Amino acid sequence: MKKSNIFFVKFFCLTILLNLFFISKNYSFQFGFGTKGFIRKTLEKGQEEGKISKTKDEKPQVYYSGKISKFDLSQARYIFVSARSNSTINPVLKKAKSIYYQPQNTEQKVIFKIKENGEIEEVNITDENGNIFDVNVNYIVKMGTEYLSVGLEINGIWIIKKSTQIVNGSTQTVTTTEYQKLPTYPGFIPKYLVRIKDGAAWTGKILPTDYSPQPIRYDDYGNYYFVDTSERLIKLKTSDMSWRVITAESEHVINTEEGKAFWVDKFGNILYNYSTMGNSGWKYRKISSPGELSPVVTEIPQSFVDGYVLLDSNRDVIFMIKKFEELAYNFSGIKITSIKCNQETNYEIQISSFLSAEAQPFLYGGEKLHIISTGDRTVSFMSMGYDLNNYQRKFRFTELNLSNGTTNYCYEVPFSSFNATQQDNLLSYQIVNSTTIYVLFKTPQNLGYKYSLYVIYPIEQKYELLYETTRYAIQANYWQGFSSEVDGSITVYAYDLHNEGVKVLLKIIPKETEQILYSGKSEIYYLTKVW
Amino acid sequence: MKKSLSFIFIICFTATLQAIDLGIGYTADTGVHIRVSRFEIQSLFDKDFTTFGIRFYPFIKQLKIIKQDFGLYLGLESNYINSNLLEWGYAAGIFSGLDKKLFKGLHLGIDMGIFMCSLKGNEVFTDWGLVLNTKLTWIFKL
Repeated sequence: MKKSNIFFVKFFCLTILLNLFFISKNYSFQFGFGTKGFIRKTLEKGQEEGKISKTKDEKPQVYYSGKISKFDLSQARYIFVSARSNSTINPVLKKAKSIYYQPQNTEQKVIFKIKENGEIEEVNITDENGNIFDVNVNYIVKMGTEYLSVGLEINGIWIIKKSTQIVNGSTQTVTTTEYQKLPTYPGFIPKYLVRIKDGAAWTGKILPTDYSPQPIRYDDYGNYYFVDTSERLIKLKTSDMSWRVITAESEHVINTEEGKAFWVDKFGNILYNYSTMGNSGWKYRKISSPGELSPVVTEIPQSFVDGYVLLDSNRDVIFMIKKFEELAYNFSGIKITSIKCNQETNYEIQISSFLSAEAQPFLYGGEKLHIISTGDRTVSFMSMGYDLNNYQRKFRFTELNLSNGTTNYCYEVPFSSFNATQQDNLLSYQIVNSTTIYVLFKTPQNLGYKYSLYVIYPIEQKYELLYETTRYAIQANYWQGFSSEVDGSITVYAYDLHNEGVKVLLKIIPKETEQILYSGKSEIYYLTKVW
Repeated sequence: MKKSLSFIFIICFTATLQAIDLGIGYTADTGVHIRVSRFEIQSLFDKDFTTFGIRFYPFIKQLKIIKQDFGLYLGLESNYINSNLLEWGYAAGIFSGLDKKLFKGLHLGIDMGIFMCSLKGNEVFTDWGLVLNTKLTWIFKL
């Protein structure tokens, strides 16, 4: 045999040997007569393992609409947005998702829920067939008590396929997942309206965003009112998910320290402060029937409304409070004006006002008043100002009777009671209702800081220290929908100062200790109490 | 599928430009092939699938074994698998074999190689195997 021929024979044998040597342990090895025979053997083996259907009918029909229909908010007490980490991935999808999320997509943000039992789980966002979307969440804004506005981008979808197959002699339902990338549109963030009670979702062209947090008002007929990024006042009707612009062409709603200046009563009457082409004023848009706006718009004179606007807990009347000084008669007090329109008034606008000599809630003058709660024809205020005797900062809590203009109570607490002396020692405050206000202070302690969480009970005229720590730097941002639980516990977001870069979600049990719900390197955004 | 067919067509067209041999034949079992020079397109038929593939023979050597003339060849093969049970499937491998001229233009080729098959049904399933192929080809010179 020629030398070159011997080379070919050797090459052939060597090729086969090398291939045998390098065959991965993941694969089996089989002998097939003809390529067709080999393919058939592979097909049959795949069918035995349930990875390939045995008949055409068994083959699962792949269908997805690409339209978000549900957020799985079941058992959620809180939700928050954070980067996905493998430790928090839904275990069902962990295997599939880990293929796509290491390590280039560690900054991808998703929604997590804290369940009643303290477990943290990723919120699955699905279409009507249960296929799960792969999303990057931009923001969550709570709308009243029933809805969320969520901005997110969709990267792809995990298609869940179920088929009935005979595996090892028995009939089984086999579930498999397959990732499908979906087209993305850079810079475009789709908005979704999510109903909290069942997680149902709708696409919304115009919904509140986190661009600038604004009040979201609502009536008792399923309508929500907010100001969009063009500063137009929008009414969203959740019965048919339609929306309309309330403000006239070229009008925009004025921004104040309290947010956008508009109020809505429970029937759907709207009072708003507008500005257009250099002019500004107040308009009242009345209803023609409950929840339905009439085309009639009434200009409200500034003599009524240049001050605080609020609704009490009945929400049937809009009150306007103006600090009033009549120098000629040496009178100093407040003017309370009410405006209403409903079946009682035969859908006609009814305005009435009176003067009161009481001005206690407004004692600090230029200081901002916070409405902490409204009762039956009462409103409670909180303000922060200086004690004119010793120039110390202090809280002041008052309750005003809207029927007769008298002050029901007044309670003052100096900052020094909380071992704080400066305005910036106060990190944040959270109002639960007129009886409970949480305040968070950060005060110097040795070389570091101490974080102290107090609760103030204005009506009982007392305060208590709930929790203090030098280890956790409690973050006051993103306290959306803050409130305590039935057992008095509070959930807060903090940095662990003993472990650099570690962020934690703490469940603070008053006067006892803290429980760590989550610990990780990922930043947490939009911690929101669901209900 | 369209891409695979276009690819096969382009290769065959290129090969035709310098064609010497043309062949038509039977691939065991249940398949047909057309040979154009060193390229071959083939299709195999099964009740559950059909394949469309191409073979390329880059090395062919004539040699004598026990005073008989044989053609020793090395080659590559790639197949696209079309099936109602699958979303897609591919089979590919390398092989080496012997070609024997039986009479006139009728050639019998037997080769063996390592093949890999990847099928996408409900999930992707991949396997390796040793494959023995037999081909009967009528070759005529142009």
